Amino acid sequence: MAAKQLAAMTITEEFAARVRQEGQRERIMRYAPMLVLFGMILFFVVVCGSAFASVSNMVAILNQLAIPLVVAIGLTFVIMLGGIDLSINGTVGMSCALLGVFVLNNRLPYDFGIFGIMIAVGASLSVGLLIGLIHVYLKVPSFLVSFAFMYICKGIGLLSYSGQPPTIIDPVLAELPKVSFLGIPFITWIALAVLLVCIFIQEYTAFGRYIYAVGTDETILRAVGVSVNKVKVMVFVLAGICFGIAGVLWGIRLGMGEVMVGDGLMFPAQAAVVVGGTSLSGGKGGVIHTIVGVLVMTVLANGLLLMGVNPYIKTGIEGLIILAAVALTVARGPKVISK
Amino acid sequence: MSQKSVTDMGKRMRFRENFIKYFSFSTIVILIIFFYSRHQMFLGPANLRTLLSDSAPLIIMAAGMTLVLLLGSIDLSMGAVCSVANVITVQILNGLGAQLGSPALGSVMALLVAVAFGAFAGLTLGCVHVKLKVPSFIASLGFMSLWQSVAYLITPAPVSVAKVMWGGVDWNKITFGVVGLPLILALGWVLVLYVFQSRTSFGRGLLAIGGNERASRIAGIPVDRTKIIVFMITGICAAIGGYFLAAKLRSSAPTVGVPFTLLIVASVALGGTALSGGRGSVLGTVLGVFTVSIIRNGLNFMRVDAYWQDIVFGIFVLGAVTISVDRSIRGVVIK
Repeated sequence: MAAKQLAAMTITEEFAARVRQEGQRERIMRYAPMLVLFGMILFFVVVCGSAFASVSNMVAILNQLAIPLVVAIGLTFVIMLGGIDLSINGTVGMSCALLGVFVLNNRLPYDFGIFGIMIAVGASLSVGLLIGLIHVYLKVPSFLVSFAFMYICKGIGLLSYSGQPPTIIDPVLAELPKVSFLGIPFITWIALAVLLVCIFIQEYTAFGRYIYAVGTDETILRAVGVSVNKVKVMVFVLAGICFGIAGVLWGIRLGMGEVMVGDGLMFPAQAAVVVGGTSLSGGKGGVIHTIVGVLVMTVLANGLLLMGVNPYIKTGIEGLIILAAVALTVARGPKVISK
Repeated sequence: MSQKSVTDMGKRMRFRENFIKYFSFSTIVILIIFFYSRHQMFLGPANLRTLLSDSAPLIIMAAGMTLVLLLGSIDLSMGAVCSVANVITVQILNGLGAQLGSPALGSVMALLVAVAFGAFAGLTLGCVHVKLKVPSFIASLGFMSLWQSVAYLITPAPVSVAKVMWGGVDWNKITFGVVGLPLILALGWVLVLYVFQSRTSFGRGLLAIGGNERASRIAGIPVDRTKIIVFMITGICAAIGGYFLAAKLRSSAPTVGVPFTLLIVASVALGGTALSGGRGSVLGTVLGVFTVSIIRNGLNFMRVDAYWQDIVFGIFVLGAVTISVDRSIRGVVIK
């Protein structure tokens, strides 16, 4: 009897020890991105001095932060599912191009005003919907569907203005980039609004909790009776909306409808999400983690620019960061098969 | 009753397996007839020569990608590796070739260095994927970003092959009738890969791993080694593609490989290789490449906006993948 109790004790103790160990690892994972961020800020303050640590540069960082933040938030939900969306280059570019085409511009005779913005975001939303539907109901891996849609969207964007990007001459939209409130530019406020809405969705709605559950183990959720397919499609739609908003913001900032704006967005966004601690295997992380990730990537880009580093190195560093962050967080073990 | 349904299922499976190949083949025939009826010049020797020689780099790269897809993995970094190899080739040809005073020797050196780089790129990608268990698409995405930046760092702008060095790239212009030397070399390379894939134990192991990795491991196939070697072959294919492009264009550009990423995936998918692994062959890919090349060439010939091409090939990738995806097993979680 005593021996049995002892054995039981050791098993519980062992279990408790393992839980504690995992909790510790989780804590390290949660604070590691913050440490990276502070280390980086410290480094740039020392190296660049007042050029980096000035009010004008802080505003510049906030300005640069806006669009990557919106993109990365949309991507975060998809990655929390365990899927991925490679269509960013295309959807953001297409949304920007359509905005240029459908508001008052110098090349094409359309002027739908606010509806132009809705068309741009709506197009991106429907691409998200299509990606979700094809991925879920035809069972095609999400990276492949979105990979194909990246090119389709780019093609649509280029076709919409057939070669020459239109300049936006709508008086309201042309003024918006100059507007700022409390020293923070208008575009950043929109990004912060998107952020708040997404935090609300993730933390305070059933849908938000389902996203985590699907990412952790969708078979359990299916058994409980939640419509997993609907959750997945909705997530891709949400991502599509975020990418659409990002495209519109780019159009407003640039004053032009240009497909190519999407091109530099995908790698920083992927890097930001995984650096923030959202695991590619799904179920971990979230929007709040991604804020840290986006800050890391933006501060890095800003600091490298101030140091006068060759801008082409930036893409390479982003690639290495993606590799390192994924390698650190990916699920490993003898039973895991990675393809 | 049940037996009949089983044979029916077998028939349907086999039909579906070959459906894409039939589709590719009939697309080729229909498109040739269609374009020929619109423009008699489509089958003229000049256009036929362009069409055939243009497909050579794509054939080589797509053949490499086929092997990776047979494993069930994917390599999205091929376009970027091709760009780096392309840039290296012209740099060495212009630099070392001039020093050696022989275009041919410079060209051979350039090929060797490019292939060595391709093998290195494949080795690193394979090791990161296999040893660190990073899924291949995200690992290759990271490397795509990395190699793209390397290509820009070597030469940020396009560079032409110096005129005295043209002797090193003029092999690309040799033709026999309408068939050019590049196409013959590319088909020869495909044949080598085909024999490698279908007649060696390594190749059979490759298919087995794609079909069921766990079973292959238990059966004693060296899974990790096979995978890394396959990624190395793919890297080499991408590098040779870059070398061929340098010879064809007589210049290098750090972005030359960018459009190839989609074209490669489209060719392999249209060639009947299942993206889930284990089914398909290098020869089918050649069929897929010709489908892609004829569509590209025909669209250019008809003066259709080049922007349509991305849309068309994107939809083709989606369609081919959707058909070839195995939906028969229930309960498999697809991410």
